[in-house]
Amino acid sequence: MIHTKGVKKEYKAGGEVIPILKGVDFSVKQGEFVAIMGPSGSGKSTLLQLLGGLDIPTEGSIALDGVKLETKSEKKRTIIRRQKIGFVFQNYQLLPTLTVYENIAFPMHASGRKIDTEAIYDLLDAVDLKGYGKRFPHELSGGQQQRVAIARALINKPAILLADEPTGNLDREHSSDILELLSSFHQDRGQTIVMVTHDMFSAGYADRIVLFKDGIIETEVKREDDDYAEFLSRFMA
Amino acid sequence: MSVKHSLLALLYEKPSHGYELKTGFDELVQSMWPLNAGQVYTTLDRLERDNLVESPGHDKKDRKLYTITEQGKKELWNWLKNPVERSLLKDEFYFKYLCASHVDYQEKQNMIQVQKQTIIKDVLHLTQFKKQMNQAGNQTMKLLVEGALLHLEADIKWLDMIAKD
Amino acid sequence: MLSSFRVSWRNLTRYKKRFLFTLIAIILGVVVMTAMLIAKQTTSSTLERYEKMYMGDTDFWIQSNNRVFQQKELDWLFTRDEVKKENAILLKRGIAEIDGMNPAQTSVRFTGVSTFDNGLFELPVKEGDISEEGLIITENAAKLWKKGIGDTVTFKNMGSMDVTAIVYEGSMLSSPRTKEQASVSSSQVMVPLDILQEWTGAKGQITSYRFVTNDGSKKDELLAAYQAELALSDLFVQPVVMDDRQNNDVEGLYYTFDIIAILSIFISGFIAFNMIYAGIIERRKEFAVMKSLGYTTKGIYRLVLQEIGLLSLIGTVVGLPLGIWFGDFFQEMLMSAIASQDITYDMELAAPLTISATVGLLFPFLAAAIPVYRAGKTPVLEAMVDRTVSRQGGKRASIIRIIAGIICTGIGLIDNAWAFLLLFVGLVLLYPLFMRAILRIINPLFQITFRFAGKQAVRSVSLFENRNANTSAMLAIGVSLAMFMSAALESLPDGMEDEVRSTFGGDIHVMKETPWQDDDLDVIQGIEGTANVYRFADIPNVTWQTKAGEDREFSIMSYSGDPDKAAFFRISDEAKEVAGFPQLYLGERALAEWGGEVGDHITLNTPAGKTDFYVKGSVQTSHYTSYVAFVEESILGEVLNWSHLFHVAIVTNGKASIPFIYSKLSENYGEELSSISSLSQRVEQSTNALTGMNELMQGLLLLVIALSAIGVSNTLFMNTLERIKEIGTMRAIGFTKRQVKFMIIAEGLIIGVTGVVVGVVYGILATYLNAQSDQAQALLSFTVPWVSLFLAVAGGILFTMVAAWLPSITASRVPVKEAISYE
Repeated sequence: MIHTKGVKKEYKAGGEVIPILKGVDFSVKQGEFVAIMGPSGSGKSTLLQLLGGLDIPTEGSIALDGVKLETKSEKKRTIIRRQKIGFVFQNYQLLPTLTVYENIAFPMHASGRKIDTEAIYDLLDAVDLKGYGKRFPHELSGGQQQRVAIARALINKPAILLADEPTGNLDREHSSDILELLSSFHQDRGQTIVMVTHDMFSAGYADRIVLFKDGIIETEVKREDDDYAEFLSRFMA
Repeated sequence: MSVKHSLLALLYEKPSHGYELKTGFDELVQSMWPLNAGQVYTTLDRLERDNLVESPGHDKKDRKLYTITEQGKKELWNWLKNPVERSLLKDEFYFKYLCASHVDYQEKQNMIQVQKQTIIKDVLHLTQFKKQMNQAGNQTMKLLVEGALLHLEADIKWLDMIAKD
Repeated sequence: MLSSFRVSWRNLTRYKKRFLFTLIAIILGVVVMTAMLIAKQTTSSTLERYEKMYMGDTDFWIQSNNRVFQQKELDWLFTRDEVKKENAILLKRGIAEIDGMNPAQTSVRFTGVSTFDNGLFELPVKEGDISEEGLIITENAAKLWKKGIGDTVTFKNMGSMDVTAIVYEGSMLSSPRTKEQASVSSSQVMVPLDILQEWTGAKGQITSYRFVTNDGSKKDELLAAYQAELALSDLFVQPVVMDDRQNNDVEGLYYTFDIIAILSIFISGFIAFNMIYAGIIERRKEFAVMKSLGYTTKGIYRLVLQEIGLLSLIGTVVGLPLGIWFGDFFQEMLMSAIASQDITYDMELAAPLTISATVGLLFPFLAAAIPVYRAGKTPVLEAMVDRTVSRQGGKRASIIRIIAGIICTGIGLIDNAWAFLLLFVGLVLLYPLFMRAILRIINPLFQITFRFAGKQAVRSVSLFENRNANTSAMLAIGVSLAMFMSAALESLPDGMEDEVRSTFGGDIHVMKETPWQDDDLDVIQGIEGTANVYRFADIPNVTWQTKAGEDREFSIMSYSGDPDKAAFFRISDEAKEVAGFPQLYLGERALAEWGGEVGDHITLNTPAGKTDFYVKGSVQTSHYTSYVAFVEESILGEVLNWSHLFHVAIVTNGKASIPFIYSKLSENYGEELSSISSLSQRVEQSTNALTGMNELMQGLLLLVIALSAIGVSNTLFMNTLERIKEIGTMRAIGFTKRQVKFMIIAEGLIIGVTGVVVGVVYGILATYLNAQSDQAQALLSFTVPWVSLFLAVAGGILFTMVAAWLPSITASRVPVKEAISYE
């Protein structure tokens, strides 16, 4: 689904070149829920932005379903983003002047699709916000806003959901709600999810955790079902 | 150790015979802690010896019943009341780290890394377990898992810290 | 202190584009205001100077109802010792003999003066010595005749004389510039009085006698004494009064200049307000931090005021020189539009520059008053914690705004020039309503054209409703003013032409140096093509005082018979009663200047001395820009001591016969003719000036619209800046750059379309109100200027599209990553 190869990203600041990513090889399979974890400043958000086609790498390649993003124009990338990517941000980024319903419908409008009212109501239902369609973002709690954002990210049935610190602004309890919501989309609908987080607690919901440090992947840890029982007995003893 | 106290807790609820106590224990720990019947009986014997439980006789199927004594209740309350002491060197990794530093172990970084991976894997598993507990509606166990996760999070932070040295 | 200014500079230029646009707006505002003030001041002082050049220091002058008189009739005056300086003047006509020019092009009007250069008139010297007795000609004549200092000019049947001085065109002497002009007007030259008397065989004869008295304070007494002395003679005395109102009606022009100056300052003030307001909202957090670090509210005021001071200082310092330059340019255009002859002028800078500098430095502070007040009020905790600034204004405030708007509009409908301004204040206040209405109408249209981007644009326009409404209102005012001006200037020439045609009286007016006798009338009547001919009086230099005590001077013309059927005027208001005094009709402008009412009495210094008149009515007339009085012919001799008539009006059988009548007249009366003017000439004269004005006004209004366009740009920049995060999010979740660009352009278009629509409606409303207005004296009829309407619509929309272009590019370049990353 996603394959990156030797991805490097540098920024220039005041004549100085600051490397953010120093050669990242990374892939995500269809139906996976991957967490990218690392301390702040490790470059994990940058990687996510590259995966979403918001920017292109200085070096290396990012293939999304076989399409090399770095070779595409800004406009092409926007169109790819529309079709294949859903974004969820730490600070929700709901459009303040749109209602919940309209926020969710926005990506459909933007990509010129026919508005599928039923799909919107289904999603509202799925994120447990039935009856909130006519509210405005500022009338909702943080957790509710993030659930709207998730619904908005999923409305175009994206191949991949990219979540950047989705629980960064929430307390533990509401974080659990959001993470459980995400993993239910993952489990029930097979939604591929890549989530950036600095927090173990969130990362634990993933199938796989990629540890990021200083612009490179330090290590990857998978949850393997076969030693789950062994883990449990060890854990309980 | 607390097998003893868990049996006291089960007996506090109602007089039971040995098999009942075993199934009660399994339910309590969600069968995650395999405890065989032999262990139950040796523990009961010890409890009886210490006058913490007594047997009023046998039931119709001739199984020996146990009840908790006043002293047993006292012991249970005492146990619940007292805080749990923590010991630094009880954690094996802490001890390993100590020894590794002592012998100037070359693979120390690797050791830390592998430990970290293990912990992360634990987190993955634990989170899944937590989800299961959540679905099963076992709030007490879910909270235990949350606590364990917080510990693991702290462990990772600590590992990151020592990895820098 | 220096470093604190450096900090202010850094704060100001934090957003370079916004700063630049605001600065341009302030500069443009200062430039236009300075130029308008300069134009107004220079025009008025130039006209005054020209008037003054004609009379110099003269206190009184004596003329005759016979046009000429013997100087010895004034012997009594020479016995009085208050006369300090005097100058006797004789006006005569002749023809110069110039190589390469036919006699018809070289007609000359001589001004014979007894003393050269003694301060009773002024000549603007170009070269030579004007105090030397000899021939003085003007620059135009020198060029046309190819004569220089020392060259000799010969006058037909008279003699010849050397040119001793050449002067610039002025009120005392002026000459035609081209041969074409020379065939209809004569070159004015100055010669010594005695020589002129000798050449023309008019020994001892003069036309007027000017003198200066010792004692300025006793003028009224002296006047009375002279009037008593001359009571029974043909001679009459007039005090010298500087009053040029008969020749030009510039008050309307000044009013227009004022409006344009106020409007441009208003618009740039508004743009400054927008910038400062947005800046302060953005910096709320900063201020809160400052306060938490111990800054006082005063300290924050000082900080912000210092920035505004810097902004206004730069704006004014740059604006003033540009304003002078533009003022000069504008003045030149203005002069060539309103003046028929070349006029030299010195720019009046002192007062305009002082006013402009003061206003330029102060208006940004005024514009900043509300935002600065809010900056100081920034509560520490709230601003630091709460990141979102509430965008909705108070509901009560908007209700008050609407009520105030309705009241202002109501007052604006009253027929008064200043109340008229309130109509536009009402427009600004009611604008959010208009905007909402128009949004509703164009919403579906926009959704079709711009699809989803259009829908978003409609939303964001309502989001910053006040700011967008105000911006659009500026544009609307510009457009409506443009519409109104074009409508006025389009209908004014027609109105003027109608008025000239209906009140000129006949087709040709002829003035002769000697009175028209009965057999002269027979002669003219005998010319083929003449339908009718009649004499009338045009008594010049009648002085009087306004109700406020200012000295004024105008002419009295005569009519005969029924005033309702008079050829020279139409009665607009008439008193019922009949009074004991002789009665007259005042032109509407004269009545307004005088300050009295129909039915009052007015005292005039006529050739018969001080005389009281009963103001029987007010009239509309094209003569002397309506600054004139009319009396019935029968009272001329008796009441006004004006028994000789030097003017005739000729009614022709048709336009075609005019050239023939012209030629017959000059054949019969030749050098005796002072002036001939025809109806079509007068029509042309009065409408020509307006055509020139039309272009000038259109240019100015284009400037005002351009200024509003800068406002649109500025507003859109700010709308964009405040929504960076939103735009970033839109981009992240699927908006293309193009869609963002469309969205911003659509926003600009909404502002533009609303501005144009409301502007056009108000422009038409203003035109309609003016056409209904009594004050416009029926000169303005209700017309819709279709060309201007098209231009306003096309121009307004085009301007805003261009204005929206830059912000749209900025918006589309919003870096998505930064916009969506958290602070």
